[in-house]
Amino acid sequence: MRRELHAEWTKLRTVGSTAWLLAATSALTVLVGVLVMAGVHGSDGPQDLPKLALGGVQYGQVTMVVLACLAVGAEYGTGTIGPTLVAMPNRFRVFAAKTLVVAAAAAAVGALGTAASLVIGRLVMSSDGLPPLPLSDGPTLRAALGTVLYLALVALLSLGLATALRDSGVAVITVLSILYAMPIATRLVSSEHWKRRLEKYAPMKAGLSIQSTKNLAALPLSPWHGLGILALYATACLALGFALFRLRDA
Amino acid sequence: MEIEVEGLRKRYGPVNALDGVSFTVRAGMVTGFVGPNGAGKSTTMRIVLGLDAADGGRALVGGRSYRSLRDPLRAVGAMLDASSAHPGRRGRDHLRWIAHSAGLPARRLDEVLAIVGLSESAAKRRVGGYSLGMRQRLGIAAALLGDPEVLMLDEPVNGLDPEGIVWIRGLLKSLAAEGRAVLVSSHLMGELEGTADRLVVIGRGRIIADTSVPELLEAASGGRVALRTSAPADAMAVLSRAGGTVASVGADALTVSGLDAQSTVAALSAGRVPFSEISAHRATLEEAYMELTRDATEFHAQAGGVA
Amino acid sequence: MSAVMFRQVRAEWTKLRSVRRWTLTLLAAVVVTVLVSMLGASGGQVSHIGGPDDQPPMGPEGKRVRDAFQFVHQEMRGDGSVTAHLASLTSKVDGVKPTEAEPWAKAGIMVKGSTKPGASFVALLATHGHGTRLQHDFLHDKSVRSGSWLRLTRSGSTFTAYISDDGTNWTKAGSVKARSMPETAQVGVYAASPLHTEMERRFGSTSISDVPAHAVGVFDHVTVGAGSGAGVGAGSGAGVGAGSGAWTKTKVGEGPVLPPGEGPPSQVQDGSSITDGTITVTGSGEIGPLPRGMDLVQRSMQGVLVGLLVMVAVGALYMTSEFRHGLVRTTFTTAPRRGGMLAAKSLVLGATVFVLSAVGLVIAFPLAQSRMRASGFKPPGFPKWSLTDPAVLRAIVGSALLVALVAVLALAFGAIFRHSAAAIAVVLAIVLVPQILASALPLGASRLLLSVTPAAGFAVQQTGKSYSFAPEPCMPDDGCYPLAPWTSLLVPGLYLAVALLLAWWALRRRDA
Repeated sequence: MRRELHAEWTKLRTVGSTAWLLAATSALTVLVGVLVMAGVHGSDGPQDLPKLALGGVQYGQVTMVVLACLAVGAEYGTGTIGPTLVAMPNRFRVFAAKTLVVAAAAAAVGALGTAASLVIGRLVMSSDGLPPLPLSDGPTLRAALGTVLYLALVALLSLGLATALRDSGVAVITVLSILYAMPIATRLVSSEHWKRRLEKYAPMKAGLSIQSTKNLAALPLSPWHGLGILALYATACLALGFALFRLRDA
Repeated sequence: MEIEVEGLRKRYGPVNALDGVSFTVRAGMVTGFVGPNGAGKSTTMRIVLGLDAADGGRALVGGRSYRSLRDPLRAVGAMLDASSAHPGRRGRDHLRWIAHSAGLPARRLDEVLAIVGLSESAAKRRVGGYSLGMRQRLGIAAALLGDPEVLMLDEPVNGLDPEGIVWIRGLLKSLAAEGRAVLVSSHLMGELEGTADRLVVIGRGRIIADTSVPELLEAASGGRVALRTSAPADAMAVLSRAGGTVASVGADALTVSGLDAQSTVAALSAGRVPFSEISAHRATLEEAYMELTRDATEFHAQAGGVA
Repeated sequence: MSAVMFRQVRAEWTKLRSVRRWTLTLLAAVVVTVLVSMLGASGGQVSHIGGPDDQPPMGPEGKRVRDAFQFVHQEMRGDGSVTAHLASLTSKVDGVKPTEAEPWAKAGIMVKGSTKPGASFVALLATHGHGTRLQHDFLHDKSVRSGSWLRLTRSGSTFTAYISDDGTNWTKAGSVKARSMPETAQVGVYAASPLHTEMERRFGSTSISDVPAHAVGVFDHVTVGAGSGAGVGAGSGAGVGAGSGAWTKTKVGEGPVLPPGEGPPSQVQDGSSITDGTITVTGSGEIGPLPRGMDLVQRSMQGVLVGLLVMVAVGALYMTSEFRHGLVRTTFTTAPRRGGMLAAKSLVLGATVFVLSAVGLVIAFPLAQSRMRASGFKPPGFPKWSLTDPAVLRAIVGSALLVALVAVLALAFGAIFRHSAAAIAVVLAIVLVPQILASALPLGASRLLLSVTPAAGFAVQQTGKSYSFAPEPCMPDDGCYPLAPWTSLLVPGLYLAVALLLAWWALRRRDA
């Protein structure tokens, strides 16, 4: 397994787009979070400050999705899947290594983006009528750790679907549709019952409930429960991807 | 170490890609794997490498299936498609991740780069900017990385310049001379002339011939006689009467089968047909191949001078 | 079309239809459009279907309207005029932020056919935040110059408005024709104020609360003069409390009703008082068209968004596959004009996607409508829409155009990036992400975003007519897009034009 990890890590880091996409993920996350924090005022009433500061991940995840889809889609697009499986015929280990490497990359940029969002967000916040953004209390740490996990889970969901679809473009559109189009479509659903249910279990919305630090009783899903739903989606996608990877000809 | 292929079958929808393919690739020689496009060469190689699953039969490397090999790159080096490299990756990095997957040391990169003749500066460029010939060399370098006992190269001559073709022939021979088993596929028999020791000919998913090169030529020549004459029509009439089968192969050239050279000369002299040159016909490898695969070609030329 | 171009278009058409995966995907887009439209329309219950008595009043132009205000009036036969000096207009809002005022709080003079809600009227009024206006028959509104003295004169069915700063020098502000004003009309002064909408937006959540609001108008020198001669010139006729008629105080119509339990009871009560020549009117309510309510047409076309995603994938791949498989070398060898290839591809893809999307919607719309009717969205509470309504046709043709524009946009980005994942990600980032962002950003920023990104084009599906003088919150969360239907398509069109230019430049400049 060590060799597979080493090879997959080399593969990921030696493609020029990886560094750009990772940097963009962090930068977008921080930028949006900081812009929002700079715009918060005491007159807006009480706010869930950590959630606001970390909200940038909703936009930063786009480049992460692209990265994860390319990590496997490009293997099929450029034909390197051949050399990959010739060099590492054990498909489970290749898939597991890729999963770990992509998840680690996502978690690393996620941690960077999360930490920077919180610290810079605290600095740029206006002080009138607002308490400072807490950095080390329990709920904030949960939100921060949860955001890192969220990004990693989104990357894994993308990786699983891209493995199943074997085309980075198609995979990107599928994942982004699941993340973004679902909430837009549900917005117009006429039945209140279904609307609430769809909103509750949509992967992005459910996963992001981990960012809430206040008023938890009002959430449709508790923070960890919500992240758990996203983890279920990611696991299902990975399982589907691996099953097809295992069964199909390369 | 050998490659043993036994009764391989593979269907793609309605197409029977492989229909019971069996052959052996022995150590210490170059085995040519020839057949028209679409005959099943690549499919066979992909099944040997565990990329595709066979519907029936088995393919073993050194007595084991490829996917169960402990150290696959040290056992088998393969190049299936020269363009199988990410265009955004540097050539050296392409080799690097493969080396990492087998736990090979970094110095092995320099060694194989030297063997295939890719310069240091070329190896530092991104694969997207490579010519087809450079990609071919990179692919061969990747196949050589693990210093494997078995080599499988799919159409390695494609895209190489004449100098490169001479180089790869020499490389294949020297690798075989070191005791390795080498399997080289091609759709042009001419490319393998002088390189391959054995030939496995495949057509429409079946093995048509599995033989040494001299045996194949012998069989294809079939005791025919070639002659030149200024009166081909008369010659045909005379020779047919004498019991031969005559085919026109040019404006003034004929081949005769069913008569040996002596009887041909006698018949022509008796019929007072002028002729300038007469010899026992020696088939080229190309001709032998054409003969063998005539029925097996998927894409027949619609028109043309060949009657 | 030149012969060369025609050949190129034919070649590109063959390329598109001969890849089975694309043909299937295109057809799948149609199926998905239909299915999602139907699913989106099903379910849902109309919460309360009122009987005929609960129906909003019918206006003079045959449309249901809102008509509620506080009126102090007397009868006027035939021609005549009404004059008043508006001493002050105050807006009182019961909200949490006492500093706020309702800009559409209004007070002024009015001639109305009867006190029955829905009766024809002409009014000259001042508003808290939108100046002085001349309105009539619920659907018509015109801004006029400001002044504290107001006068309306009637001559047959023509009403002329005059405005003065001092009660002596009058200027004509406009004249209108009332549709069905009876011979005997009610004239006087009135006040009304719509509910005040307080909107709070935080990152990711919006809270809208409607709070009661009242307008208080204080009038003096209110005179009603009979006869056609009563025109410019002060004084003729009856003053307050003196003369021709006694004033009647009427609360016309039902004011805006808040859902029970929502908000505190109002501290201000409707009413009016007359003392010493001064009439004070405190009123709440709205005089104008009905709110748009649920856009049944837009809600029958939810499949468009999903179909669009599929079309984007095909559009990007249609171009990038040329580069991926080296096909582009063949293409450029057979037809060296690279711009021609781009034009031909765009034309073929655009036309195909347009036709398929339109077909999908023509199938989807009646199905979705019948499902909505089945769950209670039917006349008389809701209008019945059919395919032949101009608004529906516009929404269908416009949606298909939008999908075609975005698909070709993906194609252009494919030529620029030569990479399907990049092209698709960028297109989705500018079409899809703004819609997500919109429900999270402050209202102004989100409206801007939905006006300047290609997502603006979704406005083409909206059928509700909006009236500037009876504003409704346009919330992106409810699927409201700020631009006018056809104009909105210009935005994605502009993006497409720029992208095609870039693509053309990239194709010419870079090696195949």
